[in-house]
Amino acid sequence: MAGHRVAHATLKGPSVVKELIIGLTLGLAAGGLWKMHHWNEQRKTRAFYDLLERAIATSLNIATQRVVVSSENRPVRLAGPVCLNNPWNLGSRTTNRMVKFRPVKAAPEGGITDVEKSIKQAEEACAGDPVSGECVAAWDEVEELSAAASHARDKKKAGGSDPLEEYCKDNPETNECRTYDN
Amino acid sequence: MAVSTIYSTQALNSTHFLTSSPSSSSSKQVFLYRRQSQTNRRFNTIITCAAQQTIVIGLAADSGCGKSTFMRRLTSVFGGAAEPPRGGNPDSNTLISDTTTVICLDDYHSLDRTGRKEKGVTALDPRANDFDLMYEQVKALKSGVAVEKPIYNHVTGLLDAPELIQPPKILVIEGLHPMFDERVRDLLDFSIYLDISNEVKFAWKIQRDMAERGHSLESIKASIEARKPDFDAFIDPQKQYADAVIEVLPTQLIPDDNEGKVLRVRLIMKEGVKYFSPVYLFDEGSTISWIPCGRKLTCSYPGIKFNYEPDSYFDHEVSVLEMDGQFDRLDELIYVESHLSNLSTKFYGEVTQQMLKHADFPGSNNGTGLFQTIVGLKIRDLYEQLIASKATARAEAAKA
Repeated sequence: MAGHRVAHATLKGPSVVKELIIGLTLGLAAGGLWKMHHWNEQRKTRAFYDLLERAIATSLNIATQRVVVSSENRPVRLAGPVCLNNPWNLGSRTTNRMVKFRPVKAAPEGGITDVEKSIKQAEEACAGDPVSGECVAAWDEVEELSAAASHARDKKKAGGSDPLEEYCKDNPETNECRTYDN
Repeated sequence: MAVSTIYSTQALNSTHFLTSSPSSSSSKQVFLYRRQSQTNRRFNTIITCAAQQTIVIGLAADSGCGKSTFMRRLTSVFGGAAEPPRGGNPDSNTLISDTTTVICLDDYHSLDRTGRKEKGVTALDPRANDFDLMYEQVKALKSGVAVEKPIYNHVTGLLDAPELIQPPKILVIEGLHPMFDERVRDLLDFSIYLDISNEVKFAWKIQRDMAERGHSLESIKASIEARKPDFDAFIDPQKQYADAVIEVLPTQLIPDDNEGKVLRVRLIMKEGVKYFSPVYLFDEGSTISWIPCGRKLTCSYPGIKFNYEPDSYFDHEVSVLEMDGQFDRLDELIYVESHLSNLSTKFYGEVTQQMLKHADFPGSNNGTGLFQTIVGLKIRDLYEQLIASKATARAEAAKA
């Protein structure tokens, strides 16, 4: 009889409090993960718009303050959002760290001075001997740089001006670039 | 198209062992390539399974003579927008679309800008170019093998790290010397030369460069003149090998015109090229001079004049179609298109549609745009015929 009772007691089922605690913990954990995911998404978007703003600001700078940029002779260009860290790395939640600028010489503004310089050099090289290999090679360089500058101008005109377009061309699957049919 | 062929070929000095092409549309191909030293000339076995056919087109012209515009028209006719390789070097010269890959032969410069300056040679000089590598890589691409092609950076003047080029359906090689080296020339299925007369070249370069700080009329003239001996020695002679030459000359409609705005453009098409039948006006093989402007079509000054005649060009029999003047309105273009025969269009008005699509490109209102579009259509046709003939040959081989 007694054994029967004991067995009954063990079958009385789990305590409600314990169930509640387990449920709460699981819920909070899942909710936390979900929230972290959203924080991360938010941060990505913020970083993206931050980048966009800077890009616009930079290109404006290039256009209006040519002297400043050409004095360093290496205009800045976007390299894209380089690394978007995971949300568990809480230290990196500031948007500034998401943005990296890589100086690239390819911008047309840098070319202007190059063409100018190469023309001067060619004129100098030809001052002594107008048919020398040096003179011819120097004018060939002028032609090459002029062509490169012209291509860069065309490229800029053709729509490389919108940083969002440029970013989405490289990263079409990101949230910022997704398009929906309906 | 699931035919497998096994054949032998002589060793190529290449460093590819095994390459698979994920870009091919319907057929998957695997190539087995054994590395071999140059001295050891054993035979290699290449196994290809349903290899797609790559056709190779060569386009030669001097710098600043409209190669890039031509390329944009050409890739547009083939369908799909051509873009630089994704995620690659931003200064890459390559353009890739669904069917076509355009590579710039400047990438085969053996001397970079400083090297050329030290040695006193121009980019036009064969000594500044690596024709062995060019031949090897074009040949490899033609046989369906991916290559690691160097990149010549036009901004820095240096040779950048190479990029991987997958064999496309249509490979276009554009640059200064696509027909200079005999081995490369023999690989071409079709070749085009853009022959810009000195007057027009000067006018174009003024348009291109006068906005550039530092340039003056003198500097533009000096640059053209300094490069001219090399141009005449190494670039110009290539036009004798071209299947189609587009000549751009000053107009004859305006006496003593030297503005270079109105152009006379001649399309010289070689006769007897396989899968290429020249475009003609009214009656094939006759001599015809045609002014479309009159009662039916009103044109503005200086009007439009066409000319079509058989001729000879470097001892080759050719057909020459010439257009002088420019289109001002859409109906002029449609009227002209409807009178040209053998255009290889897929529907009536395709030439006009293509020209309108790129109305912002230079030359869209004159013979350069018209003839570039026509050449694009002819190349598409050539490609389709070539593929069809390969398919029938394969089917017959399978039957036998």
